[in-house]
Amino acid sequence: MTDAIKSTRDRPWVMRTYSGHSTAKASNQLYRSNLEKGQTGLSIAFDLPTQTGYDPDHPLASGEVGKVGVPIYHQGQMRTLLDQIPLDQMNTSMTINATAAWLLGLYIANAEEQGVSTTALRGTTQNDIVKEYLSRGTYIFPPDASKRLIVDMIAYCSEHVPLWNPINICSYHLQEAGATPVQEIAYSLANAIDILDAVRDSGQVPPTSFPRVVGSISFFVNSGIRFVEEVCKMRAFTQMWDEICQSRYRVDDPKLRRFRYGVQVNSLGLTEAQPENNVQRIILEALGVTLSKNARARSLQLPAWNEALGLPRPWDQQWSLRIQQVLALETDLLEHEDIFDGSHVIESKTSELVNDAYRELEDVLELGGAFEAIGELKQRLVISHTERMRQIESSELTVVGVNAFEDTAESPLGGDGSFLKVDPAVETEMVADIDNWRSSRSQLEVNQALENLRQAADGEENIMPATIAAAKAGATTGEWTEVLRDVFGEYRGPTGIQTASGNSPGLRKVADRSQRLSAGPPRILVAKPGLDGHSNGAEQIAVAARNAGMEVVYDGIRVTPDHIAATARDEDVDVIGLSILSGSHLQLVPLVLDALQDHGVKAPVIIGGIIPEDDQQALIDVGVARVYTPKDYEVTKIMNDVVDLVEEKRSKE
Amino acid sequence: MNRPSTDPVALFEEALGGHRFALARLMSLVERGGEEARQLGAYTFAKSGHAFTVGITGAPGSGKSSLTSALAAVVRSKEERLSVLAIDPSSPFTGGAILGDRVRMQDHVTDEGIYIRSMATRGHLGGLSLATPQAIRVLDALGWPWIVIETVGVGQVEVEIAGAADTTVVVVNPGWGDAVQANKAGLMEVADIFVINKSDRKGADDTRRDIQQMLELSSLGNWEPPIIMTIATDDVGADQLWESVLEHRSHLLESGDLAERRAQRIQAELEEIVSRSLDQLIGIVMERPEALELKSKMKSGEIDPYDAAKRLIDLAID
Ligand code: B12
Ligand SMILES: Nc1nc2c(ncn2[C@@H]2O[C@H](COP(=O)(O)OP(=O)(O)OP(=O)(O)O)[C@@H](O)[C@H]2O)c(=O)[nH]1
Ligand SMILES: [Mg+2]
Repeated sequence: MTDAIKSTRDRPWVMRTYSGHSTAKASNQLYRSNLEKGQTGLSIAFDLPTQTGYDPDHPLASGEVGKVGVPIYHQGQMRTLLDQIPLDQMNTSMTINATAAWLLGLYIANAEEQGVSTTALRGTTQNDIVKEYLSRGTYIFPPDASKRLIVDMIAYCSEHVPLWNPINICSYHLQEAGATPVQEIAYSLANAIDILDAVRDSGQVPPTSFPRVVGSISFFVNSGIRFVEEVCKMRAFTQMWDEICQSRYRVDDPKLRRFRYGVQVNSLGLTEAQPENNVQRIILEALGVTLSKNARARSLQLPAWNEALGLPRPWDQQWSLRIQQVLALETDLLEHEDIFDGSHVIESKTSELVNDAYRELEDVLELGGAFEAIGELKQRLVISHTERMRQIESSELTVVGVNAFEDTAESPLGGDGSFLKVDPAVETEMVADIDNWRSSRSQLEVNQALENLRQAADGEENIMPATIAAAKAGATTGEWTEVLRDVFGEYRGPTGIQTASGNSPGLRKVADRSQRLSAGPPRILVAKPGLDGHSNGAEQIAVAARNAGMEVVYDGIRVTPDHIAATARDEDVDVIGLSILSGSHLQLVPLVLDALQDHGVKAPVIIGGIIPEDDQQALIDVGVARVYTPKDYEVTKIMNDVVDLVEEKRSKE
Repeated sequence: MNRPSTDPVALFEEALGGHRFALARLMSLVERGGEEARQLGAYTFAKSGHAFTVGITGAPGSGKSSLTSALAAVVRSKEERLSVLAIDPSSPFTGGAILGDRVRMQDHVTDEGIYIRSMATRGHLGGLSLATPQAIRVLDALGWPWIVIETVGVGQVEVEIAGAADTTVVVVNPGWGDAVQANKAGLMEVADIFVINKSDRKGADDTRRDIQQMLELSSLGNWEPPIIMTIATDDVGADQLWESVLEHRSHLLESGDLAERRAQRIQAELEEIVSRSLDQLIGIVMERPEALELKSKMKSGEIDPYDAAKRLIDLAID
């Protein structure tokens, strides 16, 4: 048989939409309607307070409740979120990391309440902390403690929740932070190795069960616009993981060595300018992870055309789901064997990636592994991203609609109504809800459960039983986390900006300007208030400012208004640059301005990030000097503006 | 609060009254140099001499900032105030700098009992910035009792700090031997206290033995530098380090070495000021018409560089 065409089609991948916002109730409705539209799995986005372990009434949660995901603060809300969704049939993916053990605890507690056995539960907790340190930013505890929590979850699931993927190793976020394909492969595999070594050495899993644990490791991968290379990347991943499982962990069963992965396609390359072009980008990126049958994604979620404008509305998400459906159901894609088998072009590109990635992987292992090398890896990512930005600014890398073919006919898309806005009243509602919850539970029971949790954390016991018990007793997300913060301490991630230099003639010219200023080079504070972890912009602005001859203070993500103001005052900076992408700028900026005033700081404040057009004037009105958005990709121009501002400010002193 | 004036003396008085912004602006004036800095130097000289300064030096990434932060916590727990000058390297190509030491000191940012100020080297070699000594003097005159100076992390341990601080702490890491082989002798000379930071890592004990041997071999004065093991990121050993600083301070006071060191420091500063003033003078002289004329004569071979130099120097001294 020349089996180019098979009579039976392959089964389509799992189609998901990453979603959740406002409240558990609203999100439950959204999920149910998505399932009716043919979506075949759940992918839950949590709000930032839930991800970083704060209750809605915590000062740091202010402005962030229900914004970029669903708030889940206690078991009652988990119950509402999953109402009428059959837990024994549903495959639920939760993007949750530092507080993953807690959210799994709530999920299990809820299942038991519904009479569903934990052995029937299927799904994934993302639970990958290395990529939180390197890119995503919702880490809480230091590396060692975080690793221990992960190991505990893996060990617990291996025994009690066997169908659950306790961890999903992510390379996705590394590409979103600027990683090259080689870095993406090497750092995520190093991460997987670090975790598996730790599970093996923990003694919590009997050697006979260990191959199954190896087999339970799944991955979450990115697919960028260079989709031919991405096909090769997936094949490289598949080959390398198979080899590592065999050589390092002696897993004999090939099925357990299979590189199982889900995908979200690249969002970093999706543009604010001419946003309709994003649709073709998304389709091409989807091809990168579906074309090759042998390296095809298990599940896929696609961002929406309005990615760089704001949160997607249901219709935007439906459009992206329909892209998947057309690809899987209308085309002949699923009828063929691997269409690249025998292609020497694909083969040679794949082996090039494999070789380079092995080299980089060795390097990381030599540095002591992914956890140990976080600071170094972060720097390497920032360097890669700086290079990417430089290429876009110099037009070496073409981005249609941005640095090429910028002219456009008038577009019916865009504008202020074109993305989802979360009602700020949600926060008040959630604060009332948690008050209510706290007063209706048995405080004695909660105290006891939290005390048991503390002891488990302090000792060697697996964290899960005490966590599930605390969930059942009615503890809250903030309370669970507070206990662990107390025991483990809190971690501040590396900023990675120390070494990136880049070679931009434009910035060099600005540097000459900076150095000629009579009162010394400009001093700039770059700061990220709120819980927002999108650090790319702040990092790139900090690096650019340094390369533009400025003296730069940047303390990393999640700093308070008081922290910003005290730093600005003590360092006598000339400019304060805020970066906010989480959508909470209207709440946060006035808080920062007030704090600056309290501290006697008069330096101008500029801001960049995802700032919708309508809000830009509002920010200027409260006293912000300049607003920048992703459209302002020419960093040199931004830096020249900064020097202008500094000159103006100093001339008034 | 009104905008602080640029008059250094008025600013100083404001800072004395507790205005942090005025203090910060004083530091900027000192960094800028020039006439205002000079005035400030003159004004603060007689008011200083009460603070005790601790220099922390070591290779890049050895944990100087983390250790400074841990030390600050100890000092604060004793209800004493301190200020920190953290020196970061300026890029020789662009002049820009990442003022990154502060990142490790974030626990203290909103504590009004600590003042942390970053300074870029701005082309100055040796691990400090040109303005560091004067910044120390201003902080001293303002009544900060403890001043910690973190040097730039450079390949070798920088010696300049030994001149600028009363107590010099040298930070090394386990396995240091290979990294600073050539510079060990220099280390022995500057270190009043050795810290083996990151002692959670392999080889800490070997390193300790190594240093001990070196110390035994070198001809020490009347102070034997203690070796302290720390894990700065976990606050381990910081209290012991502080104890050692206090001991060293008592030793300096009792032996009279403190006065001696400080006298040497002022002497060195004088030389530095003179040489800097001469540099400036030369800059000015070189722009004068006479100088330009001499240069063109030199070009056409009418006079030789030695002769030209002599005439220029005469011109400058006039
Ligand atoms: C990359 C990315 C990520 C990466 C971030 C990696 C990192 N370390 O930064 C990852 C994958 C981790 C991520 C995660 C999330 N993301 Co995201 N992410 C993006 C994405 C695709 C690009 C942002 C980016 O990095 N661009 C590149 C940088 C260089 O550009 P920039 O920051 O815009 O900066 C430029 C200008 O804005 C300006 N600028 C920016 N800051 C400053 C500061 C100063 C001082 C100055 C002068 C200029 C300036 O200059 C820069 C140069 O041009 C955007 C959508 C988009 N295409 O813009 C969504 C987006 C920002 N993410 C979003 C969300 C919701 C999330 C999550 C919260 C999802 C969730 N529920 O978990 C998570 C959690 C993150 C967290 N901890 O907060 C939303 C925010 C929605 C909103 N504002 O209402 C967006 C808009 C996507 C969407 N439409 O839903 N994300
Ligand atoms: N394991 C371990 N890591 C440490 C310790 N002290 C510091 N570090 C880490 O070492 C890295 C460098 O620490 P810093 O305090 O910035 O070192 P530094 O000497 O100030 O660095 P530069 O100023 O850049 O020269 C950081 O990642 C710290 O978290 C320690 O005792 N043990
Ligand atoms: Mg430092």
